[in-house]
Amino acid sequence: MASVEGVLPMIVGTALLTFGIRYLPMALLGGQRLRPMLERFLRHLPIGILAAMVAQSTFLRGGVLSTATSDYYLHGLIAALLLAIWTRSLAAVVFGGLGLVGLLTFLGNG
Amino acid sequence: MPTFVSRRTRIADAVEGVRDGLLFIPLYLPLAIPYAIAGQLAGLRDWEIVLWSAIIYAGSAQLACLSALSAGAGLVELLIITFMANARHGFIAIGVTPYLGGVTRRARLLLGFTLATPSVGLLPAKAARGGDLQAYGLSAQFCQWAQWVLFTLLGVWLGPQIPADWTPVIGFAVPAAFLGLLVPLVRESSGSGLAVALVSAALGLGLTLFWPPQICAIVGTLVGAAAGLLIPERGDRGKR
Repeated sequence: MASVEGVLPMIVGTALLTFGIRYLPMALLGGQRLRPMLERFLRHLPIGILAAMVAQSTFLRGGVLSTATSDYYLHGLIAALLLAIWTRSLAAVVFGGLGLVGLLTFLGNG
Repeated sequence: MPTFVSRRTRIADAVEGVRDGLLFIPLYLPLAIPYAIAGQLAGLRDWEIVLWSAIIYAGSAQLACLSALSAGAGLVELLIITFMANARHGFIAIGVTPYLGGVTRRARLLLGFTLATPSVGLLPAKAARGGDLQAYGLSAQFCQWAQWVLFTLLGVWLGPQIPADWTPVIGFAVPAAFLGLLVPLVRESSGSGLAVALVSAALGLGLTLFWPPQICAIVGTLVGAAAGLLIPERGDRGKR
């Protein structure tokens, strides 16, 4: 659960940082290129953080690694991955994965 | 290049921008609703959820921060995660800057504030077509920003309508949304993206046996990004 005191600094801090990331290259670089190796490394960062977050949000419960399959997240993740590869549609991935997890939960509880 | 743009042209280009901005409803709707619901699950107040969308306008960073916040991350860790999630916006800014020659400094500030992934396609294409790039860019990007905020509001309204029993099911929207954002980036990464994703995911998860999750996500990302440098990009192979 988030602490109320920590939320506003987080909102303002992350927003200012994001604005800096977006605006400073426009203001300072004027079309110059970065070194290719640095550019590749920075290009990898969003892939890395998203992949780590996919893994953590699928397999961690309360910050602890869980191999339980009773919540059907692994099933949903496989379905979402296939939908992402086949359809290239974010809506299909989110709603298709959610639909499968919901259906399996409903059938499992019934 | 003529700098005079008639009022009629400017209005037509602004309308064109709004029309093109609306094409991205399928991108923002499925991300904003899970974000808003995840924000409620993480304990944020409704106004905080909407305010964050309005002033950061960065879905993947917002979701990543919520995940890390729920795992106990502090401000410094959240800023590092935000930087990593939004690093691509720096490249988009670098990519569009050569087309912004006729755009005023104030408009650049606003374009910077609302810069998003579609901008890297929309702005150069408009520059090639001709017309008022400033009017087009501002209207296209603010149209997308408005969608993000409105769909967040929709998610904030929808959240409490969902029965409590379904909370674990709705929680799956977060990994699904991350995955939906990740796969296109891996596709566009010309070879090394899959290695980056696999190493980052394995370390981001495996290291949680020893360290807090938010630290593991950062370490996993840095090692994964470095490991990706060892994989030759598709364009490089032909040169060897």
